[in-house]
Amino acid sequence: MSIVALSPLVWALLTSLKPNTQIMLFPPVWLPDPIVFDHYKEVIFGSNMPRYFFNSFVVAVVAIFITLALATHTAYAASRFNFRGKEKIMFMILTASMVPVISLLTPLYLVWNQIGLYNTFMGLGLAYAAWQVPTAIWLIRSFIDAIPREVEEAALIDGCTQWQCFHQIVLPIIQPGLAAAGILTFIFVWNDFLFATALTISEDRRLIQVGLYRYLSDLGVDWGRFTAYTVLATLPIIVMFVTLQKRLLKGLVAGAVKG
Amino acid sequence: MYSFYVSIHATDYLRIGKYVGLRHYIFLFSDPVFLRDTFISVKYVIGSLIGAMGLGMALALVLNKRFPFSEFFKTICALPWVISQTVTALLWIWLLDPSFGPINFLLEHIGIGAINFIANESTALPVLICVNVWMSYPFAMILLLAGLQTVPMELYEAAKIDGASSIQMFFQITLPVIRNTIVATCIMLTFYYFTMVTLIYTFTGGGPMGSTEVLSLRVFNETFRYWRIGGAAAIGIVILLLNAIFSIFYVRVVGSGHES
Repeated sequence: MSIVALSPLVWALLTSLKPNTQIMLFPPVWLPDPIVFDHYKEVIFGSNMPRYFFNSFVVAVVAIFITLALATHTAYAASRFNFRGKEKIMFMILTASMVPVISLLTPLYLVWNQIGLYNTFMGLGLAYAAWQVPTAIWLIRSFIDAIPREVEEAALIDGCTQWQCFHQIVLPIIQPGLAAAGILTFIFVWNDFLFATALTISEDRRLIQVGLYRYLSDLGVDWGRFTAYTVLATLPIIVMFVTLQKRLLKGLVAGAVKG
Repeated sequence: MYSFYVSIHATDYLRIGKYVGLRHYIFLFSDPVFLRDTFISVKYVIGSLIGAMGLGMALALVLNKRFPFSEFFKTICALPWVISQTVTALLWIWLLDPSFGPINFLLEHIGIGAINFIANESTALPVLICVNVWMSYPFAMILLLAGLQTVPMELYEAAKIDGASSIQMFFQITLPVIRNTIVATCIMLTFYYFTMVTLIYTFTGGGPMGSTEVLSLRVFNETFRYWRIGGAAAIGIVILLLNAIFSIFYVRVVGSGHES
C-alpha cells in the first residue's frame, strides 16, 4: 500500500532526473541513466518559478499571521469567558467554514475589486485567513481548554492583568496548538489553486500552484521540466509534513473531532 | 468576524440572484445537462466515498496494530494528503499517458493493450474517482485511526474469551464504538467531494463530452467562463442541499443502526 501511495511521486522524481531523450520512450525507461539535473536548472534559472515560490511564501506568512492573531484571541475568549449566546456564536463560526469555496469566490472577487484588494498579497492572505480562521479557532480552543484554570488564577492573584495572563502564560503553553494551526494554514495556502486563480491576475502576483498549471498550458507538456517543478513545489510540504507529522495529525484530529 | 463579513456578502449576493428571477431554478431543472451533471456528481461522491472510506478503514485497522516501522508506514500512507490537487491531477495525467505512461506500459505488458483513460468517455469518470481516492484516503485513514485508538482494549479481550472471531469483533465492537468518527468523516468527505473543483478542472476539465462535469465544476465554469453568476449561484444552492441530504442520510442510517 505504501508503494501505491508513493509510486506517483517516485515516478515524478525519476522523470525529472532523466535526460529529455529518455522521457518520451516506449517502453518507458524506469531508471534515469545518466542522472541529469538540467530540468531543475531550467526551472530554477529559466522560469518564473522562484518568483511564484516567493509569492506563495509571502501570502502564506500573511495568512498565518492573520489567522493566528484572530483565532487565538477568539479561542481564548470562547474558552475562558462566559457570555450570552457563546455556543451559538461558536457554532455559527463553524458553519461559516462549511459554505463551499466556489460560491464564495464570486462575491469575494467583486468585493475585492471594489475595495482594491484584488491582485494583492494582502487580499489573498485575507481570503485564505477567512477560510482558515474557523478551524483554527476550534483547534486552538481545544488546546486552551486543556490548560488548568488554576494556573491563570494564581497569576491573576499575583497581580497580572487578564491581558498579561493571556500573553505571558497561555500563549507559551499552547505553542504546539499554534504550530499545528499555522502549518495547516501553510499547507492550505501552498496547495490552493482556486483562490489564487480567482483573485490574482498578473504574473508577478501568481502563486505556485497556478504557476504549475500555467506552466503546462503555456509551453505544451514538457514533462521533464514539469516534474522538476512538481518535485520542487512539493518538497517543502513533504519535508514539513514528515518532520512535524505527529503534532500536525494530533491537531487535525483535535479540530475534526470537535467539529 | 471576518468570515462572517464574507458570508454576509455571500447571502446578500444570493438574494440579489433570486431577485433577478426564480427562473434560474426553473431553467436549471428543465435542463437535461444540469440533471446529467447532478447525476455525475452523485456518482462521483458515492464512488469516491466508498473507495476512500474502505481503503482508509483497511489501512487504519492495519496501522492500529503495532509492528516494526509502523510509524514510518503511517507517514508514507498519509503522504498523498499533503499533495495539492493540481499536482495530483497532473502527475496522474503523466502516469496514465497513453503513449509514454508506465501504467499503460504495464497494461500492454500483460496483454490488455493501452487505453487512453482520460480521453475515453466511459473510463474518464472511474479513473477520476480512483485518483480522487488516492488523494483523499489519508484523511479518512488519519481520522479513523484516531477513532480506533479510543476503543478500549478490554472490550476485545473480553470478546476473545467469549470466543468471538476477529470479523465478529470488528462488526460487534469496533464499528459501534467508532460510529461517530465514521459519521463525521463521511460528512466531511462528502462536503469536500461535492465542492471540489481543482482536481477535476486540471485532470479532465469536465470532458470528454462532459462525462466528468460535476456540479462544482459547472459552478466554476458558469462563473469564470460564461459569467452567468445567477445560474452559478443557483447550482451552489443545489450543492448545499445535496450536502444536507447526504449528511442527514448518514446520521439517520447510523443512528438507526445504533438502536437495533
